[in-house]
Amino acid sequence: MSTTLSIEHLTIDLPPGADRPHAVDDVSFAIDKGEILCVVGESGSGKSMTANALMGLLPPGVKVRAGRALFESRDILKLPEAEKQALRGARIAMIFQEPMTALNPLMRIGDQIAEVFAAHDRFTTAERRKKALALITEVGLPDPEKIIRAYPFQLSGGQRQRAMIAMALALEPKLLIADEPTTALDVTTQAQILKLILDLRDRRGMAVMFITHDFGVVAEIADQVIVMREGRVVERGTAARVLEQPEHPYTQRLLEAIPTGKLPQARAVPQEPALEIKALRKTYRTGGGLFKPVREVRAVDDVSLTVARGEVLGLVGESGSGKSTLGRTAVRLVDPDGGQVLVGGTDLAALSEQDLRAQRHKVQMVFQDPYASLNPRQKIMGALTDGPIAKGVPRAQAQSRARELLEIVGLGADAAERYPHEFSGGQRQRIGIARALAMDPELIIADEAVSALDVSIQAQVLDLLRDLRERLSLSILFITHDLRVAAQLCDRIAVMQKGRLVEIGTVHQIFLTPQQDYTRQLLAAVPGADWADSWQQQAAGA
Amino acid sequence: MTYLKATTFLIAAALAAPVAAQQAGGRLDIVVQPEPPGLMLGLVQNGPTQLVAGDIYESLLRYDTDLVPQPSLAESWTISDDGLVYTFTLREGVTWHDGTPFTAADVVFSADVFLRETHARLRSSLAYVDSITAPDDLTVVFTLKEPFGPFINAFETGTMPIVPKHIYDGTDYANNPANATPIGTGPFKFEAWEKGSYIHLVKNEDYYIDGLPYLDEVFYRVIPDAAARAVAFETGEVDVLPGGSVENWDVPRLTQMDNVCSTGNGWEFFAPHAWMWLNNREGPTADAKFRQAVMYAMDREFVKDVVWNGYGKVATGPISSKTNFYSDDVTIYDHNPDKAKELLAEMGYDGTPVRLLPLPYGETWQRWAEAVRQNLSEVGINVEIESTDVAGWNEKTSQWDYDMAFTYLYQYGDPALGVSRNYTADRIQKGSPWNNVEGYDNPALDAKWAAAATMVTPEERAAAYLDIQKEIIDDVPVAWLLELEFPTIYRCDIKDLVTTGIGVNDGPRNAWIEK
Amino acid sequence: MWKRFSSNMGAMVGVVLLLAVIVVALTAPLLFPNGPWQMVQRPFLAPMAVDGLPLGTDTLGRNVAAQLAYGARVSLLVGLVSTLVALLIGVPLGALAGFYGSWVDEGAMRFTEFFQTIPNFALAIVLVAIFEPSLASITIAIAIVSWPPVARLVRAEVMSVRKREFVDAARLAGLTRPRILLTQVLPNTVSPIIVMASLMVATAILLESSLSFLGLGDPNAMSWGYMIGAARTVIRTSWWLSFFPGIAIVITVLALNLIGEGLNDAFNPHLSRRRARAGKEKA
Repeated sequence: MSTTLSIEHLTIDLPPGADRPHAVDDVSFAIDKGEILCVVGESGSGKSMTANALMGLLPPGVKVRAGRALFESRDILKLPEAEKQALRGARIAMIFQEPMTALNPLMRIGDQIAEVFAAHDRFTTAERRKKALALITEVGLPDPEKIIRAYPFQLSGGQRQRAMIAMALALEPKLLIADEPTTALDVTTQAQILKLILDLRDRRGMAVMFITHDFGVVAEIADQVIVMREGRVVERGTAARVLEQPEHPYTQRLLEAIPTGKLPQARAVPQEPALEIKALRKTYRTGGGLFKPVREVRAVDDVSLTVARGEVLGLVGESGSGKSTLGRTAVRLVDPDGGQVLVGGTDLAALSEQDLRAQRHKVQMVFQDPYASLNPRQKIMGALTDGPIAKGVPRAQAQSRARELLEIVGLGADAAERYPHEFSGGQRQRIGIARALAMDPELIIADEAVSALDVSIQAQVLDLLRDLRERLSLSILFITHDLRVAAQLCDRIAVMQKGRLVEIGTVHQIFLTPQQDYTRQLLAAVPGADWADSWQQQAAGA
Repeated sequence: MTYLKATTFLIAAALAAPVAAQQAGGRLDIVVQPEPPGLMLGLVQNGPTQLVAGDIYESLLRYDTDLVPQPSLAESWTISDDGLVYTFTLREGVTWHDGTPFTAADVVFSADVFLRETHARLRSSLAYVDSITAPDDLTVVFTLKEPFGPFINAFETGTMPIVPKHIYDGTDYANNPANATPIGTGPFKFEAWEKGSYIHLVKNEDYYIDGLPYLDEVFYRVIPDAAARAVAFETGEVDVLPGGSVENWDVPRLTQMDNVCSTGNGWEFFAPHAWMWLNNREGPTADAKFRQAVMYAMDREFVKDVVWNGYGKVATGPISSKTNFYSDDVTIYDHNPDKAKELLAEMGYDGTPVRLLPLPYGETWQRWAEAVRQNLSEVGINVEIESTDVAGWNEKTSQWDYDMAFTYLYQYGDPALGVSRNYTADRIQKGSPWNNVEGYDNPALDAKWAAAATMVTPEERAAAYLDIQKEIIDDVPVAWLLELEFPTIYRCDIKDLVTTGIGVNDGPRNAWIEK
Repeated sequence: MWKRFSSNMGAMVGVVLLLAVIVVALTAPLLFPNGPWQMVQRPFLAPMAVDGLPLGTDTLGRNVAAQLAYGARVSLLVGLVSTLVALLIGVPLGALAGFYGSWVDEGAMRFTEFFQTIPNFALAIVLVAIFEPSLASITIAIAIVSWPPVARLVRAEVMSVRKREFVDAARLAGLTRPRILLTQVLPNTVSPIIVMASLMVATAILLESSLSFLGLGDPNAMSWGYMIGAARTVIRTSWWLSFFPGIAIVITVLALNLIGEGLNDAFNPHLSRRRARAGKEKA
C-alpha cells in the first residue's frame, strides 16, 4: 500500500470556554508515498492542531476526542509515549515556522543534528559528524564545514530553516510535516526552500504534509490540496483542480482575495510632491569595543525618491533591504545620518526636537503588528484623540472627528468607547489607519501594514486603502515585501536592495519590463506567479 | 578616746571564719550581666564592673554583713577622739599583680589624685578631707576638716579602689593602655577577656594571705539572653547567678532545684534603691506638682508583686529602710490616680509628651517601663518610651537629655555616703549618671544635708535626717520606686560565697568548693 | 481578569485571610477600648483560664488578644506604607532608567546596585539603630532596603514596552517624551508591579517583626514582633505568648503570598497570549 498517512474522522476538543467546541471536526485525508499534500486555511482553521496531534504535541487542555491516524498501519494517536518518541524524528519529522525558536540557541548546528542521531541511539560519534556534514550539504547550505560549527544566531533566516530541514531529514523519515515553514522568510529564500523540498521529495520519496495559507505556495509545490475552515475540511482535490475550479464558496473567496498579478489601470497622478526624500543616509554601527572591529551596516544608502500628492508609492524589498529603516527615518522615529526629508517644503530631518513635534502631524504611520500598535490600556477614543489634542485641537472637536473617521474606516462610531482587545487584527489595522488620518497628515507611511493579516482580511484592508485614496486623495508610501500586494494598491513601485534604490517605475513598468536583474529575480521568486497569471486570465475570461 | 584595737578585730575575724575544712582548688563560673563596659574600677563603677573587678582590686577595709569594718589592705587603724584623724597601718609584703611592691604612696595617689578626679561618689566624702599623707611606706593618715561619722564606711573596694601609682601617675587615665589589663592587689589576677563571651581571672599565687584564695580560677560568663542564663545555670554550665542575673520570674523555679541555695545577703552595703530621674530643669517634669502627680499615678505595689515577684519593698523616699536613719513618718504617696489628675489640672498640664528612658538591663526593666507608662497614661500623661542600650542610657542621663529615666543606685549604708550626692547642688555636674542628675537645687536643704553629715551623735543625726526626709519627699525631685532585692542563686556545694556586705563582688576570695 | 483571579482557590483563601486581619486591625479600638498596654489581670494567665481573656495574659498581665489586634494595625501599616515608599522610589527610578537609557540608565543602575549589594536585613538593622527605633524610622529603613528589586523590574518592563509600536505611534502623534512615559508606557507595566507590591508587603511585615524581635522596634508601638521578643524570656513557661503572635504573622504573610501568586497567574495568561499573537512578524 502506498498510503503513508491516513487520517480518519479526526476530532479534537478544545477546552471549555473557547470560541468553538472543536479545534478539528471530523477531518479525514490521506497522503501517499512521495506525495505533497498542502493543507490550506486561515488562522484558526485547525490546520496546525492536526499536525500537532500527529506528533503528540497538543497543548494541555486540548485532547483528541475521536478518530484514527494510521501510519504504517498503526494508529499513532493511541500509542504510548515511549513509542511515540521512537516515531518522532525517525519516521515522522516536523519543521516549524520560526526556526530561531525551534533551534537551540546554545548548541552548534552540527551538535544539534548529531543529537537527533543520539536520541535514537544510532551510529558512533564520528559517523554522526560525517552524516551531519552530508545532510548540511544536501540541504544546500554553503560552506558546510563552517556551518557545522556555527550557532543558530550566526545564520540567516533561510539558512536556519535549511538547518532545521537537515535535522528533520537526519533519520530519513517517511513523512515530513511542515507547518508554515516559509511564511517568515523572504520571497527569494522562500522560493529556494520550496525548491529544496521538491528536490528532497524527488530524491527520497518522502510524503510531505505542507501547511500554508498561501495559495501561491500551493501552486508551486502541491499535488493534493485540502482547504480547512473552522476545523472542517471544506474542499479537497488535486492542486490543479482546486486552483482552477474551486467548488466551495469559501475556497472561491480565498482565491479571489489573493492579490493577483493582475495590474490595475494606471491612474493619472498630479505631479506636486507630498514627500521628497533626498540622498537619505542611515548607517548602523555595532561593535567598536576594545577588541571588536566596528561593523558598519548601511541600512539606507543615499536614497532619493518622491511621493506625489494623491499617489501611492510602493517600496518593495526583502528583509535587510532597508525599506523599514527608510520609512522610520522619514518620520524621524530614527534620526538619519544625512540627507533631507522634505514635507510641504520643510526638512524634517533638520528640525530640532521641539520644532519637530510641531511638524510631526504631517507624516503619519500605520504599523505592522495590529496587536502591538494600540495601547491596550487606552480606549480607542483616546488613541485617536491624543495626537490632535496635543496639537491644540479642542477636545470636543477631536472627539467628533474621531467618530467620523471610525465611520469612514468602516467600524462605526461606537467603537470609540471600546478597548483594543475587543477587536480583531483586521479591525485594529483599520483603527490604526483612522489614527493616522486623525492627524490630518500630508502623507501616510504604511509599514507592512497588511503583512500580518490573513489573506481575506488583507484584501479588505487593501480595499479600504484604495477607497481612502480615492476619497481623500491620500498620499501613501506603502512598504511591503510582497510584490503582489504592492501591485494591487500602488501607482509606482520602488525596489530596494541592501540599502540602495535598485529600480523605480510605474507598476506596469516594473512588472512587465523590469530593467534590473534583481527586480527580475524578485518577480520570478513570487510563488505561483505563472499560475496566478493564468488563473486570472481564466477568471477574466470566465 | 575611741580606740579600736586592730587585734580585737583580727581575733574576731578569725573567730568568724567557718570551722569546716576549706578545700583548695576548683573553678567557679559566675554570670555577669550586662557585660561590663570596662574593668578599671577606678574609672568605671557600674554594677557589673564592681562584680568582676572586686576580685582584682582592693581597698583598705572590708565590711561584713553587719557593715562592721574588717581589715583588708590596712591591717589596723585608729580614729582620734575628736573624730578628725584616721590613721591606717598597711600590711607588709603586698605586691601588685605585676610584682611591684604596694606602698602607702599608692593609697595617697589613689585617694587624693586619681579617684578625686574620676570617682564622683568618693568626691562627696573627700570633701570632708583636709589632707591625706603617707608618713612612711606603710602608714596613711587622713585628716578631716570636721568630724564625719560615715567616713569609716568609705574604704570599700568599689568606693575607694587602690590603683597602682606606678602605672597611672601622670598619664591620661581614661586612655591608659593598662586599662585593658587591670592591675590590682586582689586575690585574683586578670587573665583574659573574650568580649561577648567571658572574663577569665586566675588565682593570685602571691596573695598576701596564705591559703587564699582557695579557687584556682573564676570565669565571669557573658550571656546576653535572660532565658539562656537560666538554662546555663540549670545545665550546670554556670554555678552562680548573682542577684539580677535572671529574670525575676525564673527565680522561684530555679531556687527549687536540687542542690541550689539562695540568699538575700550580700547587699547590705549597697541597699539598691530604684527611682526615676525627673528632669527638674525643663519640660513638664520641672513642675513639682507634675512630679507629685507621677508619684500618685504609679501603682508600685503592683510592680513589686508582678515584676519583682514580691521581692523588695515600696520606697517611701530617698533613704532605704536598710540604711541608717530611715524614717517613714513622711507624706506617703499611695496609688491615687484621682489625686494625680487633680494635680495635673492644677498645674495646667497641656499634654506635652514626656520621654521615658528605661534601664537597658533586661526584660524586667522594659516591662517596668511599660507598666509606668500605662499608669501615667491612665491619668492623662502622654508618655513615650525611648529605645536604648547601656551606652545610650549613660549618654542621655549624664548629658541630661531625658525627661524621666529609670535608675537604681546604692546607698552605701549611710545617707551621707550614698544618698545626699543625688540631691545637693554641688553635685550637679554634666558627664556623670550617678550624681545630682535631676538638677534639684535647694540651698536650704543642702545646708541641712551638710550639717547632718557632721553631727556627732546618732540621735542628732536621726532627727536631722527626719527633717530632711519630710521636706524632700514633698518636693519629689525624683520619683522613688522600690527598694530592690536581688537574691543570689548558687549551688550548695559552694561555701562561703557571701560573707561580706558586698556579697559576690569580693566573695570569691573566701569561697571554696566542697567536693 | 477578576474571573481568573477568583477561580484560583489559593488566592481566594488568601483574600479571606487578609480581610480577616484587616477587619481585626480596624475594629481593635472597638473591641479593646483600653488599648493593648493596659494591665488587666494577673500575669501569665493561660488562654481561656479566665473569662474574657481568650488568649491569656502576658508578663505584665496585659490582654494578649488586645495585643494581637493592635499589633495587626502596626504590622499592616508598616507593611503598606513602607511598600508604598519603596514603590515611590523604585518606580520612577526604574522608569526613567528604562525609558531614557544611556547615561541615565547607567547612573540609575549603578546606584541601585550599590543598595543591592548590601545584605537587606543587616542594612535595615544599621539604619534603624542609627536613627533610633520608631515607626517612622522602621518604615523608612524597610523602604530603603526594598526598593532596588522594584526599580529593576520596572526598568525591564519599561524597556520592553518602550519598543512596542504604539509608543512609536504616540511619538508620531507629537506627544512629549515624559508624557509618553507617563500615559503610554507606565500604565502597561502596572500588572507585574502590583504582583511584586503584594509580595513586598509580606516581606515588609516580616522585616518589621524581625526588627521588633531584636529589640529595635518602636517601644511605644505594640507589634507582633515585639510580642514575640518580649515573650522570649518566658517561652518555656508561657508558650502562648510567642505562639499567637507567631501564628498571626504566618497567616498574614501567607495570605499576602497567596494573593500575590493569584494576581500573577491572573495577569499572566493575558501576557502570554499577547506575545503568541505577536509572533507573526516578518523575518
